[in-house]
Amino acid sequence: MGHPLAPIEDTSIFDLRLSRRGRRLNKLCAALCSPQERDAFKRDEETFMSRFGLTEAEKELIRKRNFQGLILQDGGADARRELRRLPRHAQYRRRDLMGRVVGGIGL
Amino acid sequence: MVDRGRTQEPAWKPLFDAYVPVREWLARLAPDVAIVVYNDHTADFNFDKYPTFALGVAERYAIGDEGFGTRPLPEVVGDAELSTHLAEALVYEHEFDLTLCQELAVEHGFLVPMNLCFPHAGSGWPVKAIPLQVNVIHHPLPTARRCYRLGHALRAAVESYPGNSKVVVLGTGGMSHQLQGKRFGFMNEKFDQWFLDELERNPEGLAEIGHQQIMEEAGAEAVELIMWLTMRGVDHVRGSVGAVSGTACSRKCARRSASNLKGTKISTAAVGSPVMMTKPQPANITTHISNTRG
Repeated sequence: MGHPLAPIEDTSIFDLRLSRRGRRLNKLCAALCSPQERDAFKRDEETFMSRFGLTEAEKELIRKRNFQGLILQDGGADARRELRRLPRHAQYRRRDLMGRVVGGIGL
Repeated sequence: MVDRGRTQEPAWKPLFDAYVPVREWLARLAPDVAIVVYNDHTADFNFDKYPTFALGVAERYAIGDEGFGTRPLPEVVGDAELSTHLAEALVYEHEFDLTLCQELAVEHGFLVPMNLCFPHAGSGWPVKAIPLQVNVIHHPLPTARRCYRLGHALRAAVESYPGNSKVVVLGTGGMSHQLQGKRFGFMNEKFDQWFLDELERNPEGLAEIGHQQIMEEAGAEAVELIMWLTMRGVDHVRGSVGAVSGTACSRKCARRSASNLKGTKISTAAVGSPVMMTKPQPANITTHISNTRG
């Protein structure tokens, strides 16, 4: 049909438009699937972020661990999952935006 | 929850107990190979190149690192010979132009159902497995109809395999749920019940469902349900079936899922009505439902 889904209230539809917008952050989060890259992030966040061409606004969201803002920028879909890769929590101890511990991967 | 040994806590027990009949059924069936229809959540595939359909064609599959280290699970042993046959049959005969993966790290979309269905020791899984990945996160997604037809093709491909493997196809993915936006935690039990009914008795009609309807009525991530239709498509020639589902995404989801499961037909009708091909044929293919109807 060649057209996007219609907007759904209180829901983001992660299509190619949102994916382009979140590209830099998504690439950064994808890199965090490697232990070496996680160490690199922990060692020097600023250098790490600069590798992915993040805008200053995106960098600031990460510095402040502003997950709500990051999700808005990142575009939804798996943003929450991806962003939890940012070193903050112990392995498998995962929290949603309200701070509740959630299961998911640990199932 | 499994890794932390919490499956028998009151909040979780009903959810995990629902998998017992599936596990037992699979143990009786003792398949040689499980084809697991699942989606990758950017553990291995990423949005730089995200395949619509991807088939594992490797001898083995690593446990993926989803950003938190790897889970303590045994490496997955594949069946490269069957995979190769499937790839050639699906691409040449059925014109499903899959991405074929010589290397593929599997992640929770694959491992959670595997872990719940197949008890395993340190020595490894009791079954070989072939990952069949479907894009359900990066729109445009394949249509539900396309997923259903992939099931038809998959069945024909398995049946034409000259080997003598017993194959089970597992459909995976969560039912109603949403993990983002203001509707975080949204679920719709009525939709789930309807979907299960339709899956069983009207898969042709159900295959016409649009992503829009699923996402509006059941939450953004419920669109994973289109993967159930691939499993159902495998079994289109017979009446009853099933999927192994349930990536409970939060406590809330799990509680709701658990409430769905109380007093269900799970241990009788649903689990009692698996379809096994009994006609002599080179490869048996089986589908099964872990029915969560109340």
